[in-house]
Amino acid sequence: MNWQWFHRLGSPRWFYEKTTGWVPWIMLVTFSLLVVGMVWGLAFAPVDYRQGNSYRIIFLHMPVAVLSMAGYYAMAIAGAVGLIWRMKMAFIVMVSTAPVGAVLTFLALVTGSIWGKPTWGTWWIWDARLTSVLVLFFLYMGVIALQQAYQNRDAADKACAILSLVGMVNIPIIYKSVDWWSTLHQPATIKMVGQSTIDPSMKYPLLIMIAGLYAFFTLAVILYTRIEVLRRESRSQWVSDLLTQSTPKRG
Amino acid sequence: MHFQFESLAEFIAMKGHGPFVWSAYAISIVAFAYLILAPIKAYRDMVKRELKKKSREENASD
Repeated sequence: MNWQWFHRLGSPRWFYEKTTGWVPWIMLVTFSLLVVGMVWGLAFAPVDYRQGNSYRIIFLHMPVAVLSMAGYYAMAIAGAVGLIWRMKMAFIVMVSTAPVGAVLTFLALVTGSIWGKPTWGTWWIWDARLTSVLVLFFLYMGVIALQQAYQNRDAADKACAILSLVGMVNIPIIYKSVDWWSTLHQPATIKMVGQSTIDPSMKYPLLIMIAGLYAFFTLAVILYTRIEVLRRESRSQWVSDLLTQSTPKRG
Repeated sequence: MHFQFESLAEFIAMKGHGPFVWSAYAISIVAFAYLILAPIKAYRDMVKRELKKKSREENASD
């Protein structure tokens, strides 16, 4: 097997130059999916007969929550790759995933809270799902804080990778919390196996929004990663040349 | 598939749920925009810093 791609992937400069051409395309895909999904969900999906219009928050809340967890996996896997193969680039991706994941987790909590008020009658409750997602938010914040706490970058990267991996135990807990401790939060409506309990007229815009959030997550992580590459390679000549070009290109 | 509301006013009001739905969407759009704009701003700041450094070095060598 040819492992050249793996070694190239380990080069921050190669990553930066490769992704320059991708960014506008991923932006276009992300924007289209999110606009179609939001308009469909807000204006064209039928009203829920029990929750009324407040359920339209699901088209944001659920995809954002899905990515807050998938993003954590991405961060932890990047951390593991960095630890195992001592790949610099993997640590850069890990560090760049943390702020994106933190914002998405924060959004999942806020949109859930706004949905909870008209539906459950309360902004917040110490329900198992809500509490475990709050823990997820603190884990992301922990990785960000830990990264800044060390003077030595290698030590910081390793500590963050280990925290990410240990924190991974929280993800199945979040996922299963609605089944193990059935309180206010509703169980999953879309299932990989078996019958989904959501009507197709609501499922399609939801799937479009999930795809849109995956695209958005990819885009945001690439943008943050590119900045982190420049930051870490700031002393090298190619970065200096790139930054002092006459026409400033978009990050 | 058709527009679910009788009028624009009803679309905005959403039978009383408007403030909840619209604020959730507004907050999310602001957060999405932040995640895209923050790295772009960081890039511009880096360019500025690098140009300043370069001109300082050129002045020093004169």
